[in-house]
Amino acid sequence: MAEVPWHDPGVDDREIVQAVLDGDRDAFRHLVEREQVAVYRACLRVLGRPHDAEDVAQESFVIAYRSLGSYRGEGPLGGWLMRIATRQAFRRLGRRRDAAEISAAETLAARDADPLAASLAGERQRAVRTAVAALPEPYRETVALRFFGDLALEEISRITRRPVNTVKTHLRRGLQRMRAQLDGEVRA
Amino acid sequence: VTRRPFDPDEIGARDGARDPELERTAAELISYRDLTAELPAAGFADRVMAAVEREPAPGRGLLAWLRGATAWQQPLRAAALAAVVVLAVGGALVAGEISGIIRQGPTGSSASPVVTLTPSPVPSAEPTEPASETPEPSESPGTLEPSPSPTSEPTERPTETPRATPSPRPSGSGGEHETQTPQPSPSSSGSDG
Repeated sequence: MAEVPWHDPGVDDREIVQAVLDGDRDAFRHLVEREQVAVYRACLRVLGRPHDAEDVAQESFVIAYRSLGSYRGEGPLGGWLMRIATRQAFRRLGRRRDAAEISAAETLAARDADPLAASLAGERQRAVRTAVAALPEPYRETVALRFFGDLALEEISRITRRPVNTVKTHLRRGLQRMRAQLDGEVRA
Repeated sequence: VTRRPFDPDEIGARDGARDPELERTAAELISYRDLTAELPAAGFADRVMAAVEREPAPGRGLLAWLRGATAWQQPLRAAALAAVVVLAVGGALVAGEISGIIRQGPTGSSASPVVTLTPSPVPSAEPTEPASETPEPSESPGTLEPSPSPTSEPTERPTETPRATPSPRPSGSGGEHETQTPQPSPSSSGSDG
């Protein structure tokens, strides 16, 4: 697991927001370049399809740009953006459900050389993704922000304005529900 | 925001007890996360910026605008806030004056404001439209009489008058027909239903 910090700590979030609100689009580009990998990955983890992930990540940046005036500085800007992105991704997933689940050929694991291993890995990925998506709120959001968005509990607490212990409880309960679903799928 | 590795204590119980089942679930999520640690395609940021270019400049919430301030902007923002407060208070006062005038109107002299105000609540309470039509055509010539009738009577009558709509025949009715029109209407509606 790479321990690469994906946020540049050298630039204050509020400075970026202020600059964008003052009409400096380059400041927004800076934000996009800084956050694109994290946002894209979070979307990919929810959706499972690179093309969709890119689409939703782009949409999320546009939404963030439009509503930047509502960012109140609670929590990091990257976390705020991540929340928008995961919400958008789950929304897209909800619209897509009826269009059948992702085929094995489209999953990331399918790029593996061994077709059987790829198939099994793809199946497991799908199961994990489905289990997270099936969680009710606020468990889904908490699990997604923690494991798909790589946010720390304290960061989730700040952007959702929930106490850390509440976030922790949501995470626990979310994982409990996921476990039940994953075990049920294995049995089936 | 810095990327933090998962710590099993994050999902530990309050008494510190650990749940191996939950840790297994977390491990699956981490494994999935690591498998999907990909990069967006080249030029992604450019595409995002191209989409952003098509957007109008982002709006700034009033509170955010007032709150986020550099030192030299403070007086300007304070003045703006004061102007907003003055406008709000002034608006409330003017609205109060207007409503006071309207309330005083019917007790004073003119009947016209009463006609405009009273009918509106009545049709909203009673969802049927014909109720508002039937009293008016029959009594329309009189300017004084319609005003009392919508205020007091239509609250009970309109429930019956709409049923009179299938029977528009009693057009040749006189002034007292308000008491009589309800009677044919139930019979006609009963035959329909």
